[in-house]
Amino acid sequence: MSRSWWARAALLVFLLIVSCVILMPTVVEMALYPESKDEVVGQDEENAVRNPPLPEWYTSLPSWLKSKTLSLGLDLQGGLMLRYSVDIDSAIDDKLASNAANIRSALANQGIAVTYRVDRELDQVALTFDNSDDAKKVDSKFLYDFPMLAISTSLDNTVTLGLRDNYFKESEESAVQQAVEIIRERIDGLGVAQPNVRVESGRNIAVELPGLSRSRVAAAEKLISTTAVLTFKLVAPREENIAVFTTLSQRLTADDQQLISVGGGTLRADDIVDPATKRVEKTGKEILKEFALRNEVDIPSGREIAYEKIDVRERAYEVEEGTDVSKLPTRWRMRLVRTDLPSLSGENVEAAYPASNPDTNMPYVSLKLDRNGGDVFYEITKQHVGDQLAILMDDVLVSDPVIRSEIPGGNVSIEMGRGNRQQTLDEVNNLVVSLRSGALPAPIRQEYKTLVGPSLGMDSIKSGMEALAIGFVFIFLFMCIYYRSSGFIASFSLLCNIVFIMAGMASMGAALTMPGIAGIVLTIGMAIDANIIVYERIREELRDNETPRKAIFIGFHKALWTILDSNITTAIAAVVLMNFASGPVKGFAITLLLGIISTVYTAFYVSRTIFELKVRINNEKLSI
Amino acid sequence: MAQFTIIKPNTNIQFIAHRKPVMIGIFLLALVGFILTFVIGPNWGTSFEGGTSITMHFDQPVGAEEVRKLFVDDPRFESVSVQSIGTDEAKPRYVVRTRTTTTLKCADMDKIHETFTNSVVTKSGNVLTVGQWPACNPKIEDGIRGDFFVTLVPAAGQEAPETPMADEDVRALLMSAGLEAEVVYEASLNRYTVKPQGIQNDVVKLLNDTFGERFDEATGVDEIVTVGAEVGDKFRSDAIVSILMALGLMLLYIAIRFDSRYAPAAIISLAMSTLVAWGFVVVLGLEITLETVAAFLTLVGYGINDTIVNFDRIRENIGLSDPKTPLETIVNKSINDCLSRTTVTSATTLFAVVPLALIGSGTTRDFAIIMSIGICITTVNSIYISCPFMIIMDKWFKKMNERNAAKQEIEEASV
Repeated sequence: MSRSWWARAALLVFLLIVSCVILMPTVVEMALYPESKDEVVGQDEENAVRNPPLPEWYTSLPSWLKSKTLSLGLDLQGGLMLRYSVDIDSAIDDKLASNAANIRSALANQGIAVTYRVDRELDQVALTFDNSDDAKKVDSKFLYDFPMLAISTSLDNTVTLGLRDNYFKESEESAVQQAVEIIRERIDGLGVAQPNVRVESGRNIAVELPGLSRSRVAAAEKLISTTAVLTFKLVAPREENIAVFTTLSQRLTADDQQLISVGGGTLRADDIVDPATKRVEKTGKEILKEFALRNEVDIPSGREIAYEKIDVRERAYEVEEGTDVSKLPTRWRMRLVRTDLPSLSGENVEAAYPASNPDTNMPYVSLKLDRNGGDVFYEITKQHVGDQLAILMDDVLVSDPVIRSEIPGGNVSIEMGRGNRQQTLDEVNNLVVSLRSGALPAPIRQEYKTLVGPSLGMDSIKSGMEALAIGFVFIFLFMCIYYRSSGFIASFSLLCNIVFIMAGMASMGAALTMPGIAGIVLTIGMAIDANIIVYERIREELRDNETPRKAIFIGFHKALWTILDSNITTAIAAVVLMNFASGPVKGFAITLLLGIISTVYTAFYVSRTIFELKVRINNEKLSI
Repeated sequence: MAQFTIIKPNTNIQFIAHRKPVMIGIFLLALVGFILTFVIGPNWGTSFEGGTSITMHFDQPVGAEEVRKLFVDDPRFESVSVQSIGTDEAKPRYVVRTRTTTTLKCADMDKIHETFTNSVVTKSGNVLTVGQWPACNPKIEDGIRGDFFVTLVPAAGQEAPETPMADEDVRALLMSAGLEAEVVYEASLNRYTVKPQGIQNDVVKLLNDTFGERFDEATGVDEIVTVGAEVGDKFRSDAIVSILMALGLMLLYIAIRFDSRYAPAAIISLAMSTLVAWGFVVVLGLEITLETVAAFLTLVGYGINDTIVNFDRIRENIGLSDPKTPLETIVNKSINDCLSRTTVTSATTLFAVVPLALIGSGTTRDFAIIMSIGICITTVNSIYISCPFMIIMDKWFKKMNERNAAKQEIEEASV
């Protein structure tokens, strides 16, 4: 037999083995715990204990073999799905109005009278002056203090200001990114396995909370949709931090096992993660916060507690070499922050962008404050050289740069700590996102909400699987009657097809949804088409008295482009659908695409390989 | 051994010669499908129209009429429709759809406004009044949808308090005025976001009060979908755009893979199939959901396969036959060549989809129904619309070429 045949056969066997290995955990789960998904809602803690226990051969397997299970989509296992849209327009409108007012007062300081009108539709500010000389005062130098604006038209005594190029896009991106970040952080504490937050398209954010029970929906929604607030404060001096946290660590009781005191400078706590399900049961921040609330009396007036995520890089020393620190639970620590000084908030931020030091080539954040903010900032920095600034998102410390010298004029450069260039660049970009979104606190609006109960999904799976089985049996019988043993080959490649699709979904981490099941059912119907096209061709060639071997060759050869064409057009539709759809329907598009790829493979390689083998064994006979 | 066949080899049915009545029939069906959109009107689902859809099941028999009456008679729910989607009589399952997304009405809002204007006193004794209050939107049936913002400002001649009112106090105030809602203060904007408790609690309470034993409060509600009206509009235009986009991309693909004679014919055929299937959806009153859009996109992607198989064969046969053979003959032969494949494939695909249409439930069932109808139509159209139009396009191109050639000749002659 030719070498290419062996290669094809080997590839098929390899792919089948890989697929079966990928699907094994899914099969074990479904066989042992067919009803477990039914109970998801309402028993969040008991999932860790498994009854019946997993078989020994399975538990002894290495964990990487068991990492990928084909999870059920939200429509099948129940839970809450929300879609939000970030309302950047209203935030920009607000900022535009405050900028316009600031421009008027800045001009009034120079003795120039101006009237202004804000056009919310076009995002423009029209300034009208008494005479054209005054209008000339508004030039690019004047606008340096108002970096969101640029002159769009200047005519006689009126000047129209519009948004600077890219301003809208930058703000939108930051607002969406920050919102996703914040939602992720906030829902961590809900104790939901595999929560999923992602940007759906442009400014839409999808949040999926599988298994969330109805009674907790309101709490989840409240957590998610609060706009985060950016503030600038000062970290309390080091001695004071030590003093307060030393006192606080004396208040630790037997209930505070999770809190760790190190060196007296702070208290810290790790997220509590269920090792089996990887779900965050409680965040370290929550643990710390509860403790702080109980010991409020020990926190001096004019001070408050902020919470900071500890950089995983700082923890490399404490674990065994070779451990992946990024898989450790998130660690939080407390910081004491001053509230007795005038503070700045996001609305004082005019612009923030990443910059790079020309000498060292190290990236840093360039921050521009508005006039009021700049004045306040100057006062603070003048009196607190050497102290640390606290940049807070709600009560989370996102950055704590040291004040090196007084900073006049509101132009601030924030340099990052140690780390290589790439890490610094990431930190710079993260801070820019926080600052930009803090400057434009865009509310998020709920657009779409689906709450799925636990029992609908089980019924759907049952009927879907039944339909799949019935359809397969019908096709199997029909093919075997119509094409005899060749029909059997087609049915076998169809079976491979189903296995490949499922394995593909499991390895991609895609969830099985109800439309996804429909997609598999449909793929079965469509996949058989490829075989039929080939078979009809082979039959024609046999009628023209070709030898079976030649007929097979010509049949597959001539059918190649027909099959490719028809599958590519279906793929076009699937890709379009993927862009349109969200949630479960997207699952359908994914299955359809996977189905198309595996259909083309199985039709051309699986069927053909078996065919050639058969013709050789059966001494050049073909029953089709 | 003889082959088992449905369509015998060398079958020669005169499709092209007898195309007219079938073509006219399909055109009329498509036209009817289009007109019905405006006469009967499609049954837009919650995703496209905005509103709430609640899927529920009962543990004991409950009639559809009983459920319908409950929701229709309750003034809180507007334009209610009830549909049974269950297959098990003992555990009936229904979908209730309403345009309402919150039970909060403008009249209620006015009442709450009054409470706020008169009597907001902070703990420090400052008297506040309402600054910003949401306007009731007449477009959304005299109600408020979703969250709204409220700001509180010092009343006339009063000083601003040092600390703003606590969320809880505002929440209690709203509660006293009859609105159960979550309240969140946003410091940077100095405003309160009020998130009224959605319709879900009202529904569960109503069902529990009415059906008692027969309804399980914890698990009885299967699904609640709430969609804002603006989003529905967006979904609708997105759906139309994506179907047009799929058609356009296919036109491009076929134009590249074949030639310009084939592409328009394939698209006309697909458009006809889509319209006829749409007509069925409207007549059967199937709910238009996101799954429906998926079904139509799949129909477009899958339905073109039959046409492509035929076109492939036409192209091959044109290459093989005598250049003098009329195109009609070649096309007819090609259709017959592929007829066996066309029938067998349609049959097997129907084998797969029909069981889903019979035992599936809800939107999956609708999906399977649309696909079943669509498979039949696209099969017929691939023969009776795609191929004849390909001939028409061929003639038209020839005529254009002749005309251009003639024009050129005249021009050359005049020079």
